[in-house]
Amino acid sequence: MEITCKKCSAVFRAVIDLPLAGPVRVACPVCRQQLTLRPAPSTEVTPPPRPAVKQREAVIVDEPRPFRAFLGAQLQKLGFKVTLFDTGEPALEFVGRTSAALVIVNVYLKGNRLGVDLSEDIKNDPQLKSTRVVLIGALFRANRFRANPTNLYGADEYIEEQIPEKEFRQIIRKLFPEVSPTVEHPTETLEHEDARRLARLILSDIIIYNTAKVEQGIRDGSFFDLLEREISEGRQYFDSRVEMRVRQNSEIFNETLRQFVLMKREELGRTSTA
Amino acid sequence: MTFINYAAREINCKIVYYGPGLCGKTTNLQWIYDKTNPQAKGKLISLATETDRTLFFDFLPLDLGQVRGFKTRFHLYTVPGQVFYDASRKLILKGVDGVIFVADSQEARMEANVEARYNLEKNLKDQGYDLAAVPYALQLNKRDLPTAIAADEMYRQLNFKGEPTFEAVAMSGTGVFDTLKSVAKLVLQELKKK
Repeated sequence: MEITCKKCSAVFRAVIDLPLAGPVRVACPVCRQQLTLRPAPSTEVTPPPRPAVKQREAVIVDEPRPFRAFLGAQLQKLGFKVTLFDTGEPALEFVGRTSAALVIVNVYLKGNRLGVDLSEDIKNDPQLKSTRVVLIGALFRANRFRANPTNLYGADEYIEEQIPEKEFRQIIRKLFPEVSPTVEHPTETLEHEDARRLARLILSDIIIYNTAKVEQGIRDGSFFDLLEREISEGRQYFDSRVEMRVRQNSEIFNETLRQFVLMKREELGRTSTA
Repeated sequence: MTFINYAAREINCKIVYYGPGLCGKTTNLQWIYDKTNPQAKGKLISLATETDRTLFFDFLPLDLGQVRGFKTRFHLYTVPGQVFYDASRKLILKGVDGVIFVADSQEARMEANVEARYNLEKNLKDQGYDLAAVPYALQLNKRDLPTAIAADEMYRQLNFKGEPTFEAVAMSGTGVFDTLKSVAKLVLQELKKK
């Protein structure tokens, strides 16, 4: 930077990193006058605290089952506040009251109102114009040799059970483009999908060969102790099949385990209250 | 690959029961073994590891008719179904003449069924076979379970080439011999072509 000496008016150059982090002293090469350079007074204004962003309200209307828990967990990760309902009527009342941003509803519901009725009710209500509705198909993973439904009863999107996480997130982001794309699995690739599938298969094998232990473990909270050997064996196999950079990034095996425990807890809770 | 024993005038064929873990492959074999004439069968051999899992194979020779004056002896094998044991599965497919894919009807095992079906295709290919050309049948097992999903839906997801498909409850023998006979018939048809 160029500096003019206040005493002798000589102009000289000094190599100094800008902006200045603090006061810097330099000497004029002509008159040896000591000069002190100070950082410019800050013009930055401290921004006022941001008003708390209201969490988007999401409602899932479906029978209590692992798939509902899966959807709930996914939406929470995407920043939604999730409320669950088994039947249509209380859900509609709640949606009307809260103007929920998103309603995911099974086509078939117990009670007097089907999921398709609920979808039409929401879409016909001018107060709920901005509410997005996603229908859950009644068929199990009918993803092959099958055309999409022609009538969505007003709903914005349609999904089926076993929808991959990635696809589900894409649908939500299509409906809510402002939802952060980096909340979870920012670098999701085909490798990650394959790793996730492998983790599910390993876990599925562990479960089917150890049903009694699994149930006991979930009920009394000793799941990870009772199945320590099997989980460790499964993890070893997983690690031997999945490249380190994929498994390190995402902790896929652990996450699959956690999701399973959550779903199973919900399942057992349902059985015990039935 | 069929092995012909000229001295004993026997044609030996290998049929492999394939499918995910605990889908009922061993139950199928056990049922066939129990219901077969003692004179017509060999020893049922089960090799297991220290992990208590049915790991290697069950071996069961059965006499089922003649081809051009040669007796046919069928060797029935199962593979370990858990995703862990891919190397063993591949090994057991060596020399296979026919495959029976046993699928578990429980909803929770559909992903494992689909994976095992693809794994079969891949492992056959690795051994130089094409599933499209191998005598093959699909068995939808555990149809008695309350969590069984619709047979049509299973067929839609697992059917490979319009293969003969059977609903079964291997524990009670339902559909077990029907499935075996259909593949044995296909194997014999292939033999007669050669």
